[in-house]
Amino acid sequence: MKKFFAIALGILTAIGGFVDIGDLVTNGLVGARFGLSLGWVVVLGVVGICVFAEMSGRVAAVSGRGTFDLIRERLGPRVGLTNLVASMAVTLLTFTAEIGGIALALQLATNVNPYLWIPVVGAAVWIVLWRVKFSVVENVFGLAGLALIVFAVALWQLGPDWSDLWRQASRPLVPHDESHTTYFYYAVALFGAAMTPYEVFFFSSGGVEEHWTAKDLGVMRANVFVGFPLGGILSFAIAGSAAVVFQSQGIQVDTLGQIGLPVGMAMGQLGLALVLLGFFAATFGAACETGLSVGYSISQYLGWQWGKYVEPLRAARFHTVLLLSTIVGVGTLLTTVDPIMLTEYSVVFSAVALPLTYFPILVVANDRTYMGRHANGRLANTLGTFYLVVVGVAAVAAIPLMIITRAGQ
Amino acid sequence: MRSTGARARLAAFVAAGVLVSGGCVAPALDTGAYRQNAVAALESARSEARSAALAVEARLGDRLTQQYATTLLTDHDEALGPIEDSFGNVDPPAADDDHLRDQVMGLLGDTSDALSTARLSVRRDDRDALRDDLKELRQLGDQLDEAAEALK
Repeated sequence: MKKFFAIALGILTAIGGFVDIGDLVTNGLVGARFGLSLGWVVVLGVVGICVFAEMSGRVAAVSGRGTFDLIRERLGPRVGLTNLVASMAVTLLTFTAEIGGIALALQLATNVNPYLWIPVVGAAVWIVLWRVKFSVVENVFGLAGLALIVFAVALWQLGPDWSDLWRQASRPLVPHDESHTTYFYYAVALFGAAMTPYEVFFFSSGGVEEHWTAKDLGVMRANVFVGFPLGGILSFAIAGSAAVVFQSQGIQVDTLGQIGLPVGMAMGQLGLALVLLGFFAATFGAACETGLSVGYSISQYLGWQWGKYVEPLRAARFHTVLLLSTIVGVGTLLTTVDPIMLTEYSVVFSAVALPLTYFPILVVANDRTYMGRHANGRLANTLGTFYLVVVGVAAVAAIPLMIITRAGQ
Repeated sequence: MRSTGARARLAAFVAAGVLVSGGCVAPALDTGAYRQNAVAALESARSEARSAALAVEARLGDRLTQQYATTLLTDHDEALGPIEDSFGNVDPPAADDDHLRDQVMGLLGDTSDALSTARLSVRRDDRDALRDDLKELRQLGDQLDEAAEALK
């Protein structure tokens, strides 16, 4: 019974924790402009993140060591450093966008300017990173993030033409008023949002924090293969709601408030309260995950004591990285940069960094010195290699598409 | 050491890269490009007007809180300024295009006024004024749509 609850809790938090500011913004924006015609990218991205999250979780459970620790040891400090710099730049950008997302969620609830919220949010995130237990962070925000299921209910309440939505999703076409380059620019952005590098670093480092062993592989796989795809359904619901309300009127989505508007229209203020809770939990939870990922990665690469399972005093350098990251994030936002624009850039740059993130994981997961009989099998290697090609194409195409389309305009 | 020509080419390349990646719009070179700018401005304004109308309608039906609706309307109101600036800062390439400029700037100005009025009505929770604002925003959305379609 205890194992059943552990699996159920893991799946629920995986669903609730799947969506972050990148998913919210990109799915809302894409749904309003392209309907569900980019739904295939969500499916591709969810399967991809499942493949690599399972791989990195397995590495953590079997070796008991963090990803960057193994990458540096297996591939050498130079390759490890390249990997670290690329992944950290993107994760820090995502961390900043998440803090901005929390401030925007609070603005929607209070109508207080987000730039007044940003320092408060930064302080709150840092206190949670410093003082609150890992399991509490993971479970509370993961479970509260389940409030975003309200998007699926709202989509149903809006009474869409289901056959039209299915046609869009199953036979994807570029809408007549959009160019192919814009379509593929947003395909890359959506793919980057689904496969954000921090998700695998956080997932595997979390496994080390929770002392996973090979016995926990079943629970880990249940979280990944059930929780993540169900979380992906939330992405579809967000895009679907935006498509139903905005696409036919030619409305473009540029703000977090617009993303939640279909829920208010369909379900009134109760739905709105749930969507605000979901926005807050998703962005706050993701801010903690990205912040911790920055600290995990740097500390693992440099061989410092890391993690929330040790006293902050014993992992002082790890906690200093967390504090400095928070200061950098808050400072960047206080330059009055638009958090939504920052999010849009973060998902595209995330796509650029994907090969540097996932190639080393594939190498380590194949190394029998670390993995023994739990090294990658044929299926994991086939899928891993296929996705390396896909992320390679996305990484190469991302910047040229950004320039050609003037960032999707 | 790089030659002056090579440095100039590098500087031009970097400047072009920064401009393009920053999403800057070059001045219209001909009437066709100017009309494209006009269509883009009209479509952006239509998007803001229609989205604001949805927010006002939802507020009138008590489906949005006042805080949420005010934030939405403030965002839409603030979005109009850059749209007006982006189009207004480009000079018409020929005298024949002055009429187009006046027409588009007039519609953008009306939309900006309507959004500001709606924002104030939501903030004051003035239901009667909101009903008038809703009507005006819908009309403007349709006018902007017709103007954009006529230019395509």
